[in-house]
Amino acid sequence: MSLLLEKFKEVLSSVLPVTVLVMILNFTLVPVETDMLIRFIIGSVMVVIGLGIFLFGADIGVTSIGNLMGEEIARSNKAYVVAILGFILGFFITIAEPDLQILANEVSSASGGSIPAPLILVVVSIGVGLMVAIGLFRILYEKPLNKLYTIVYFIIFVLGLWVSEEFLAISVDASGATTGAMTTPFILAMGLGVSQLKGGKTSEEDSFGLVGIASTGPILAVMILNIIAGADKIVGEAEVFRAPSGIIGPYLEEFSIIIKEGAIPLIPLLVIFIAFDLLKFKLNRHRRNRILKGLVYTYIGLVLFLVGVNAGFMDVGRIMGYGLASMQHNWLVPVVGFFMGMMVVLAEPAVHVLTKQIEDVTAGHIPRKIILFALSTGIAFAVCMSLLRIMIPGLKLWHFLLPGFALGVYLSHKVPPIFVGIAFDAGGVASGPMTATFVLAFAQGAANAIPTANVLVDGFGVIAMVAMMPLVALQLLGLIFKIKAGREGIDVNGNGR
Amino acid sequence: MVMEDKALSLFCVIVNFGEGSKVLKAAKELGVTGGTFLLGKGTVKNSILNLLGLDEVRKEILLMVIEESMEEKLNEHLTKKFHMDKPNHGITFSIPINHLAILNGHEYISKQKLRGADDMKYEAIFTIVNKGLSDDVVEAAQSAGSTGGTVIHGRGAGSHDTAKLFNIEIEPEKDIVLILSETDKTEAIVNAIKDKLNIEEPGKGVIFVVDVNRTFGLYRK
Repeated sequence: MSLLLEKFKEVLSSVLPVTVLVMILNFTLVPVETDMLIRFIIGSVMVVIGLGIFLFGADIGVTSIGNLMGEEIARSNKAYVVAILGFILGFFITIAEPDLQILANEVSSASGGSIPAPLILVVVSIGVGLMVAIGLFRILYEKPLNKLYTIVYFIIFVLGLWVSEEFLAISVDASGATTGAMTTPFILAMGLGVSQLKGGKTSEEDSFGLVGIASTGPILAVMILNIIAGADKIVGEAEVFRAPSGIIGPYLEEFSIIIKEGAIPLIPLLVIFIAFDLLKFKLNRHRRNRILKGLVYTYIGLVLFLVGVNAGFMDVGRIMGYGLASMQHNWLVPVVGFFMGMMVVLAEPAVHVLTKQIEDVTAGHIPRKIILFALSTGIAFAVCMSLLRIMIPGLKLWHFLLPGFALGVYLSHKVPPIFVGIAFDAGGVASGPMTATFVLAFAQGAANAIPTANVLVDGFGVIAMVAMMPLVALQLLGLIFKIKAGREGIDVNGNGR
Repeated sequence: MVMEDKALSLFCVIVNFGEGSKVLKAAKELGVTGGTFLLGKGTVKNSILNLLGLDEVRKEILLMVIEESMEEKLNEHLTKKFHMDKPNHGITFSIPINHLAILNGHEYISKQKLRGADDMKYEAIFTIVNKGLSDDVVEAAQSAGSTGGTVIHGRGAGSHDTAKLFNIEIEPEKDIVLILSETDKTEAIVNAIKDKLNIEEPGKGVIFVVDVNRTFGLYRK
């Protein structure tokens, strides 16, 4: 049983920091109601257990399916098979993502109904499908990742000139929403499967980057939709926030929603797996059962995790944001945000999957701790800057996003290729359910208390920042790696001599 | 180049993922010059975990070339420090290295032939080099009459190449090339690899040869 203990120790150490931070705030600056605090503690426990079970399941279930699919794609060796399979997989796992459905509804109402929600859902899914197919082609035809990113982000930049500022925020947020807890490990594993089977000199660096490419799909899709539909002002009001009371009530409510929502993204994975197992993989009973068990774990884990976050974390985040922003010293908001960002990212499920994959691919050469360190620092700045933007009316989102993405693309030509893939993947990985609920709630709470801010408008764009910063942070890490290695005579790039 | 007449052995340690670097550090305290890590998966024997499908653990396999005389001491040191005598704390074993090895720029040639050396027709040549150089190794080996090689991906830390980043050690990636060769060709193959990759310079790599009792399925020209 020591194996289970080990795992939970790891998970505990990634959830504990944010719990402690909230506790400290509660006893010093912003005391919250007892009910809410108890809910938060219950939520923390659920998040720990849920995350642990989820990661076990992701390891033997979702990741295995992704690897098998990737290998199958690489083995087919036919361009049209790669294109069709890549598109279908990208399309179906995206359309089933609950986060995206929520975002589609928000965007639809924000545009005053001029863009219907189902249209957004389909267009974004097509965007992901196309980009996954392109990403797979890139691996198979050995096109450098940095060139592809340069081209795609250049197109995004050009489209961005026609898109209103509000929709710029929504489009980058959409990319964060599509790379959910379930889809990210799957796409990560698929990229790994393809590049490992293909082999060759670049197989290590090609194991990463597919999530990064996939998450540009929604940006392009929402931008094009906006340009065609021509809505450029966000209308409507944010829902009035009522803090639910009681301890058990909110949990039961969330539970009944999430137990359904959590199952939806599993359906395409399950169908694809069973179909391919019958036709292609033909796994033995032991392996097939293992993968199916894995899927069950992922589901149970994810439900526990999401219920814990939604019922336990969200309200506390909002209250803390509101409380801090209405204090006399509201400069504390970005400071607390900085630490919150630093700790919250450790509890993101997909972050664990990514760091494990990095260790596996590089045989431990790039340690997990270093990736976490860089990621934590990056997200800390992202949350901090998001809050500054909400507080200072003159500061616009594109003041951060434009130089951020530009720097990200520039660095991709300067750092060892494996860090390019890791960094762009980390963008999608970091913007998971924890950021989308807890950090967003904190920011919205703060916006509520600041007279110059608009909860609805300023709420968009927080996830965008979290998705952008890892590009810069992890590539800077790559640069340090390169300089350091150059001096000490180590070869990071793997090119020898 | 220095030639020394010493018996060497390949000391292997299998521990849970993440423990390997600590074991190597402890081994270095006793004078081991370096080691190479491979990643693997181990299984747990526990019916409950089996049923739940949670019976796989990530493992690290640490390979170290040491002098045979040191074996006992190293084993004792590691057992004490990492409690290897208890279950689930890792295992160690060692394999005698044949008459030939190149390590840290020293060439070791042992005069004493190992038991039953006459019957053995094959030997396994392990070459550990920096990542990306495996193609050169295989090429050199083929030019000397080998039929091919298998490349294993790992990471390693010798005395020459540990860098630190934010106080975390970065161990460089390595390629381990396993070549099975007929005994009479071994020396030629080792020499070809040695010349092509300058293994006799410190920090360029490690070669050692292990006896093989039987092989099956090896392609013969």
